[in-house]
Amino acid sequence: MKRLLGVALGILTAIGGFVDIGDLVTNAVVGSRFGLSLVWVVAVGVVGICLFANMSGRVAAVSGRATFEVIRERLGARAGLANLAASFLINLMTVTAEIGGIALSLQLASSVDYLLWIPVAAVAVWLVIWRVRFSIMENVTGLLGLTLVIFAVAVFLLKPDWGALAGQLAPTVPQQETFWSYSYYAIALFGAAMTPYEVFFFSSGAVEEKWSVKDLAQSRINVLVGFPLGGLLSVSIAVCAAIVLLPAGVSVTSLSQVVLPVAEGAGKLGLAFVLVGMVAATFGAALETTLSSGYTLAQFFGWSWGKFRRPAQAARFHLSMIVCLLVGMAVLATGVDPVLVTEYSVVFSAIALPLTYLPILIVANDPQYMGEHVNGRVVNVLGMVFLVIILVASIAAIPLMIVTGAGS
Amino acid sequence: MILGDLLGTPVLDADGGRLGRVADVRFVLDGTPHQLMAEPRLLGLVVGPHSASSFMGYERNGLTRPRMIARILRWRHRGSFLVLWEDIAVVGNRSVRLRPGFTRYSTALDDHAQA
Amino acid sequence: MDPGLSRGLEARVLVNAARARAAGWRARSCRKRLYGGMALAGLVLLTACSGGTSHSVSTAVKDSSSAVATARIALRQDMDGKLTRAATSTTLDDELKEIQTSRSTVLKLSPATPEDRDTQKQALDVLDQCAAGFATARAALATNDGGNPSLPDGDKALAGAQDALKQLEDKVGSK
Repeated sequence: MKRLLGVALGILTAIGGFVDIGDLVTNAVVGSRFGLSLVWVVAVGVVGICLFANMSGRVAAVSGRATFEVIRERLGARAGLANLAASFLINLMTVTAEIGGIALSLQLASSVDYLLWIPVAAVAVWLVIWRVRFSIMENVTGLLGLTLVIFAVAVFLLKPDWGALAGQLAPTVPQQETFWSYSYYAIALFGAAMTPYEVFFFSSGAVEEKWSVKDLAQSRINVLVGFPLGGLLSVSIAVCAAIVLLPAGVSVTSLSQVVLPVAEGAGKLGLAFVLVGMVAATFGAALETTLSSGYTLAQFFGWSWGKFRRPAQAARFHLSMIVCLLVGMAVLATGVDPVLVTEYSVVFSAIALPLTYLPILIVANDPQYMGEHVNGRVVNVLGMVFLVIILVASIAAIPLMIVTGAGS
Repeated sequence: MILGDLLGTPVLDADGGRLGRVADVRFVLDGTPHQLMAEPRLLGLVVGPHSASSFMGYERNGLTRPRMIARILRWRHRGSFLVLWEDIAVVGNRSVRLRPGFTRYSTALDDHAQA
Repeated sequence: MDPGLSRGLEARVLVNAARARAAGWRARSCRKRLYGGMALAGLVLLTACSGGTSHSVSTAVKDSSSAVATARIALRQDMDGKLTRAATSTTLDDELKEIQTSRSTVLKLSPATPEDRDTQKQALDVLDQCAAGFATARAALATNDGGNPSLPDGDKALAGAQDALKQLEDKVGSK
C-alpha cells in the first residue's frame, strides 16, 4: 500500500512539475497563432524528455554521478568549461524567466505591479532552498501544480467543435504564417518540452534522494506515466488558446492572455485554480532551475553540493545559488518583459540541448560506469534518432531566429 | 608547465615534419603505493593527426555503442598513436619534438587488462 | 619496460581516475565558442533588421488589434462575472503597454516619401484612438458598477478602435 502511494505521489508530482513558464507561454503563443498544427512537436518532445530523463536518472542511480560530473569527466576541463558556460547561462535565463513568471502570476491575482513581486518571489525561492527538505519541496509544488489540470477541464467546458479541432492537428502551416515562423516555433516548443535543466535536476535529484538500482523501476514509472500526462497538460494550454484566442485574432504576448480561455470556460473558480497552478508551477520550476545552477557549478568544480548536506557544509553551492537569484532579480529589475525572456530561454535551451544529451548518451553506454545497466538496443536507436533531431533543431535555431525576427 | 598547456600543441618528428597535435596525456600507476594512492607516472603523449579533441572514452576497446557515435569518434581520431616519454626529445612552448626512430604504440585501451 | 604491460597498467589508472573524479588533467580545446559567436551575430543582425514604413506600421497595427481584441474579451468576461477585477485590470494594463510599444515604434519611423508620412500619421491617429479606448475602459473599471463611464462604454470605445484598426490594416495591407 505504501509503495503504491509512493508511486502515485511520484506520478502526480511528475505531472504537476512538468509545466513551467516556458511551457505555459510557448504553448499559449503557439495555440493562438498556429492552432493545433504544432501539437506533434510536443509529442516528439515528450518522448525525448522521457528517454533522456530516464537515462540520466539511471546513470545517477547506478554510478552515483550526476550529469555535470559526467560532462566534466568526458569532455575534459576546457570543452567541459565551454559546455558549462553555455548551459549555465541558459539556465540562468530560465531562472530569470521563472521568477518573472511567479511575479506575473501574482500580479494577475492581486493587480499589484509584478516588479514589486519580484523580490518577494526571489526571497521565497531562496528561503525554500535554504530551509525546506528536498522531498517536501518537490511534492508540495508538484501537487499544487496539478491544479493546472483546469486547462484540460476548460477545454471540455468550452464545448469546442471537436471535428474542427481534430482537423487542425495536421502539421500544416496556417495561412497567415510563414514556413519559417512555423519552424521557429516548432523549435521553441521542442526546447520548452525538453528543457535541459530537467535533466540536470532529475539526475541531481536522484543523488539527493539517494536512489539506488532498486529505485529505478519506480523512477521509470514516474517518468513514463507522469511526463506524457504532463505533456498532455501542456497541449491543453495550446488547445485552450486555439479555441478562444485564435478566432478572436489575439496572438499571445502576455501571461494575462494565457488565462483568459480558462476564465471563459470555467469562470472565476477556474481562474482561481489556474492562478494557484501557475504560481506553484513557476515557483517549483524556479526552485528546480536555481538548484540546477548550483548543481552544475558545484558538480563541475568539484564542490560539495546537495540539499542533503547542511548549508554550512555546502557553502559555495548555496552561495552560487544566491548569486544566481540576485542576477535574475537584477535582470528583471531593468523592466525587460519576462514573457520575452521566456521565449528566448526556450529557444536557447533548444540550441544547448546537444551539450547535455550527447554526454549522457555516451556514458549510459559505458559498461565501466553502468555495469549491466547500459542502454539497451531500442533505447540506443531512439537515443540516436533524438540526437539527430536535437542537432538539427540546435543548428537551425539561430538562422531561423534571424529570418523570422525571433518569431514576430 | 601545466599539462593543459601541452594539449593541442603541435608534435613534430625529428626532421621537423608535422605529425599532429597532443590529444591526451597518459599516466601509469606503478610506483610503491603511498598513503592512499600510488604516484602517477607520465607514460607518454597521445598524438592525433586529425583532431586534438577528447576521445570521450572511446579509446577503450570495450566501448562500441552507440555504434554511430563510436564510429564517428574513432574516425575523427584515426591514425592517432601513443609515443612514450622516452621517445620525446624536446617539449617546447610551441611544439613537441620526437627523437628519431620513435615507436608508435596503439592508443587503444584493452578492457580485459583492467580486471 | 614492456609497453604492453604499461598499457595494461595505464588502463587501470584511467578507471581509477574516473572513479576518483580526478579528471583535471584532461583538458581539451574548445569548439563550442562557435555557438557563442553565432548567437551574438544573430542578435546583432536581429536589431539591425527592420523593414520599411509600411511593414513596421502593419506589424504595429497587427499587434495593436491583438491587444484590443484581448481587452474586449477581458471586459466581456468581467461583465459576465467570469474574471476578477485584479485579472481584468492586469490584462488591460498589459495590453495598453502593447499599444504604447506599437505607438512608439511608429513614432520613431523616419518615412522618406509623402505617402509613408501619410501612413505614419494615420497609424498614429488610430493608435491614439486605441489608447483613448483603453483609458475609457480603465476608468470604467475603476469607477464601481453603474458609474460613468460604464463597462459597456469602455467596450464601445474599444470596438470603435478595433474598426479603425481593421480599416487601416486593409489599407496598409493592400499596398
